[in-house]
Amino acid sequence: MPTIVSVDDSTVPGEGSSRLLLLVSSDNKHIVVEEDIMSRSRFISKQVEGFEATSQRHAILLPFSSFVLNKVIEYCSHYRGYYLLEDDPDAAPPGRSPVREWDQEFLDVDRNMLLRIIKAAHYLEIKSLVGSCARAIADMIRGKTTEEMREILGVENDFTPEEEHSPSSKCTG
Amino acid sequence: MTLMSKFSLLPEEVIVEALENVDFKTIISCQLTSRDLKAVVAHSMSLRYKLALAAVGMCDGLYRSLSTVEGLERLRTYQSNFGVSPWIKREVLPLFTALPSNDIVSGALLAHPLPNRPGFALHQMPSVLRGIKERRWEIDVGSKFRVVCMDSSQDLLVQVEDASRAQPLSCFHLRSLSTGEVHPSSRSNGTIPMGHQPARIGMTSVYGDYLAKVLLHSVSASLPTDRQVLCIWNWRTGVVELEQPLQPLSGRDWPTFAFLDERRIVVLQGSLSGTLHPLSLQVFEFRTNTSHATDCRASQPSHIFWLPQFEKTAPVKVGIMPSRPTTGQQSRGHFYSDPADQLLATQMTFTQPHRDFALYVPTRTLLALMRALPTTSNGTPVTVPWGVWGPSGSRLEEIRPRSEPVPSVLISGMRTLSLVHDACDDSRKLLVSDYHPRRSLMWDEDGPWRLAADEVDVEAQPFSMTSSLPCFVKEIPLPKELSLVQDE
Repeated sequence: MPTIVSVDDSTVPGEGSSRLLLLVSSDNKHIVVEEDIMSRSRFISKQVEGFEATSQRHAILLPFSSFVLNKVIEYCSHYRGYYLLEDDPDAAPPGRSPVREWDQEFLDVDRNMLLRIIKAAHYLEIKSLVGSCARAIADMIRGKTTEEMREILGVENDFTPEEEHSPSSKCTG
Repeated sequence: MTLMSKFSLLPEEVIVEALENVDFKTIISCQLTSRDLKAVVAHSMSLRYKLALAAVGMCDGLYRSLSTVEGLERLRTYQSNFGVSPWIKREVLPLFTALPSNDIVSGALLAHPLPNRPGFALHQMPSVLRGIKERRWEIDVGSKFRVVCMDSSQDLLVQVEDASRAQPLSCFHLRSLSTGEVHPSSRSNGTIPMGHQPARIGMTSVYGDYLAKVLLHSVSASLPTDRQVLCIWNWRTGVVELEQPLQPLSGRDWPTFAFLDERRIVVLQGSLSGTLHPLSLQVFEFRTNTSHATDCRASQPSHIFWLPQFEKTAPVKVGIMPSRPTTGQQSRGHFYSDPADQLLATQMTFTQPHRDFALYVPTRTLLALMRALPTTSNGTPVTVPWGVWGPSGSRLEEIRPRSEPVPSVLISGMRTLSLVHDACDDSRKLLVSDYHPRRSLMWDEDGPWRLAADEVDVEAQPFSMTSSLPCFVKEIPLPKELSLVQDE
């Protein structure tokens, strides 16, 4: 029997009293969250639309751990009710996402966690969070050499020595 | 778990998004880390575009109105024209060296009043890279004029004629820029009467069929404040679309506005000192009534975007825009935007005692916000506190006193038009340059703009600029051995 964890006690109860969603993480934790909070996720929104079409609601299974999921919920709760340009599918935001100070602090986590958050955000289709994570990753690797980058990103060098030194891939970076 | 934490195993578009945030050197280093990442870079059109731009010493701006494919296309055209460009030395446009104010610019066209008779000298700035030939011609406008604006994309020159004995009402004259004759699209002999006799006329702006102007009527000789009215005409039909009384900003400031689209206009309202009337951007809809009944005039704003109060300690840095503004002109108390291009950031600078602030609002932000916000049915405006719209790509920041001129740059294709306000002698300069990787402009991420371009001294009235592609051009030292994936 999985434990039911209620999150987000901080949000104002009673106001609008949005409906609840049951999210199930890959480590089988059940997390109840207000629909309102998760509406930033296109993935969840589509699921909810599906519920409304079939008038059946069920738990949403997610392929990442509760630890990551809670982090994403924290993000969504923080921006609850905020309009973020990048999340507007009609606004066609160009290029880079804006720097938000809160996001920088929020994403001040180790590499593994950052990569897991971005993966989850991508799965959930939260463009603003993907953008902020992408920016955080970019900050980690900006100006680094190839060797340093392998270290930072946990990427293995799978080039053969010939390929690595071939003139086509060489540059003065 | 270890698999999940590998960068190269992230979805391809996520990797691309991360790499879009870094400079081209980092992209090159990154694609050398592993086969996977090399493949991601090779597959990504946008990253290849970025590398191709870097190879000719350029990078794109934050706001792009072209798709990557169009950008690549333009880059190819640019590269093929590059070899034949004769613009290899600095040139000062001689037209402006000895002439007075009132110059206007639109697209590649510059106009300034003739010194000896009512008319304009027009100069189409040449661009080999864009296939524009240099042309100079003069047009006569017949009468004395005061304020003009133009739109080169519509071949339109709008001129305001003061009331005289022969002409009891002030009116607009609409002329063709190429001939000086009555504009072929206008009715009523190219003349629109303004109806009232304004005391003064403020900024003018044309957007498509619409012509907006602020009229100032003196309430009485004893009162210093004027009644300010924003009027919008349809210049093709002569119909008045909006007559909107404005709250005066303060005694000496002109009200400022910008078209958002073909039915909305945003006006800066309130007082710069901020005590009685806090600053706000108010959106007015015109063309709401197709029958042009009188109630289309003097309406409530549909949206009010409140700006933060200025009395509060330090300037509030709420919400942060991607980076510095892409364009717009800097001047005190003025508010410019390029209505032809909705991707443009709007920039406003005004002075308080000892303080300059700049507000950067991409017009897209306002449009997107208005889409997202519910509208009220009973006519009361939707008011939006700064906290809500602040994080959506807008910001307010204090400008520290700078010794160097802070230019605003507008780039149209490979062409830059930059307006620089020189704080030292309070003059303005217009810098015009076609982009050339060896001799054009540099933009430092952190530092100030540095421009090496053709300098033209222009003591100008508010500029209105149209038909531009906002993008930054940056000089980047070329890596010697960078080999590019050439487009097939």
